[in-house]
Amino acid sequence: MEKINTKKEKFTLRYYLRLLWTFIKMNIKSQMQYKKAFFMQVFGMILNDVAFLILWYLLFNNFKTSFAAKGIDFNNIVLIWAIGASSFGLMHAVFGGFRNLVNIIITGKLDNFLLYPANTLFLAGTSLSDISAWGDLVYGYIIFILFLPLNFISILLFTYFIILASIFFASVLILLSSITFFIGNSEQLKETIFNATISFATYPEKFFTGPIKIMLFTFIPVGLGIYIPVRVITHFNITLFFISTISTVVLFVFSIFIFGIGLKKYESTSLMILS
Amino acid sequence: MKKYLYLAYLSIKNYTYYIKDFLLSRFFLVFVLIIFSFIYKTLLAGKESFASFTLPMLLYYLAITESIEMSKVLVHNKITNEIKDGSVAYQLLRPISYISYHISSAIGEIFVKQFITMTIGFLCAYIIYGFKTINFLFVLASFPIIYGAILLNLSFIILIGMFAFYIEETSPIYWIYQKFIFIVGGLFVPLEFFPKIVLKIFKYFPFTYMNYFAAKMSVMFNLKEYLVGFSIQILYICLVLSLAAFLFSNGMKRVSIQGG
Repeated sequence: MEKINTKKEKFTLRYYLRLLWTFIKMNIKSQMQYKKAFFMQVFGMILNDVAFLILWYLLFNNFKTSFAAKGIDFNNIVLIWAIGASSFGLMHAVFGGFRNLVNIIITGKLDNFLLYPANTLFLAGTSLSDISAWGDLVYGYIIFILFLPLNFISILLFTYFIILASIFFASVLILLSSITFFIGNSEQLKETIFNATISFATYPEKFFTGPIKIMLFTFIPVGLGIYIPVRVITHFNITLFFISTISTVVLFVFSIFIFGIGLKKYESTSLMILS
Repeated sequence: MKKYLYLAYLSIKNYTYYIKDFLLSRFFLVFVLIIFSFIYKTLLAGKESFASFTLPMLLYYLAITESIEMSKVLVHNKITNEIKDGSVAYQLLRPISYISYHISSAIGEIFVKQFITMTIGFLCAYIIYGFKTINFLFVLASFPIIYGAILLNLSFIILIGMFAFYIEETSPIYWIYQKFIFIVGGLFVPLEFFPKIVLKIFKYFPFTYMNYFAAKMSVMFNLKEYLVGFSIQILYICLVLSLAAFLFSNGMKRVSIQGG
């Protein structure tokens, strides 16, 4: 394992990127201990995601004029699924601990991460990696390459927005999980709202109108995190590019801020593990 | 029989202890119904109905299919973990069939979840489409096939769990099974919304007699279809559970549990 010398290195971005890379390698190595199970889960998840595309393809075949009337074509569906799946996969594969953050807080496992010099939230996020999420990540690229116009700029934009959207999903999870510091176990609340976010993120924006559309750009900001990237990849617009980037960064900073406030209120539950 | 009923009662009691969390988790159905109300409007594109399904009927249809889907208990995970860590040995010592134990433990929880989820779904469907209702006598008449669909679903999940005797991970099998439910099980839209060849091919597949059949009869009752479909449901339940029992008895010969 690559050693990180914390005495000489400051906790810079470079330090965290190196630490992140170390954790990713560690997680993959441990997951690959059972190679058959690893590949079964990855390919199983790819097949799982393909099924949704088949569902949409069958509906498109029967309702071409209905979709055309709304200005939705099959490529819209493919692109939104590609971004949604890959960003969801990237977040869960690298920072899977954020999905488990409520449990980490209420069972006192946060104590372990508080003892280390590195950032507590970072360590909590990298404490878990979902094997099947690698399948989601790969799936997004596969359908992007197969169905959408392919060039250097489009792949670059696609990769950029996957990273941005994964930061968006992580921010939503951190924010929802931080509620636990204030009201106690918020696992169900977090899961309900996060699942709703994912659900909205996998249907084209053009389906929605009225107050729901406003909600999607405000309280459940899927519009900022997913729909605007889809618009930018389809027809590049520098203003929307910056709106999406800035709004995601603001949401991320806000979620860390709320987590920090909650951490000050945190009291250990004196977790005891009996073996 | 008493012990199985008591297990079902215990599972209801355990589950309803945290009723607040349970009700909160059902709120996700509200979002699903809202999303699909827009999708159904797009599909119908201003028309009154498609394949005799009107907009309100579609939303009630979705409320029933989602209530069946959201009430599932992932017994295959429990079975897989029991086989992996050897705690299946403790179950074998009990004077109760392993498969019946899991059915009884899950069924109480599933029935309660499904009924409450369906009620919440109906309330949302009622509000979303301007307080329109369906004929609730159809729903009442369809309760046997709704619970038949639940039992068929549970039988398949237990069958998937039995594969843990042969392979390390059963999750990928479950995901593929779930996708069959999503597409040919008519979870989101009735099968009439797909190309006709889909209904032709999958007419006698078991997935058709889960969510799709139960929901269709609840909104568009047809006695002949009901009786034929119900018989096919019972046949598949017996077939799937027999296969699960066969895999279990063969699988037990492969299990070696470390003592101490």
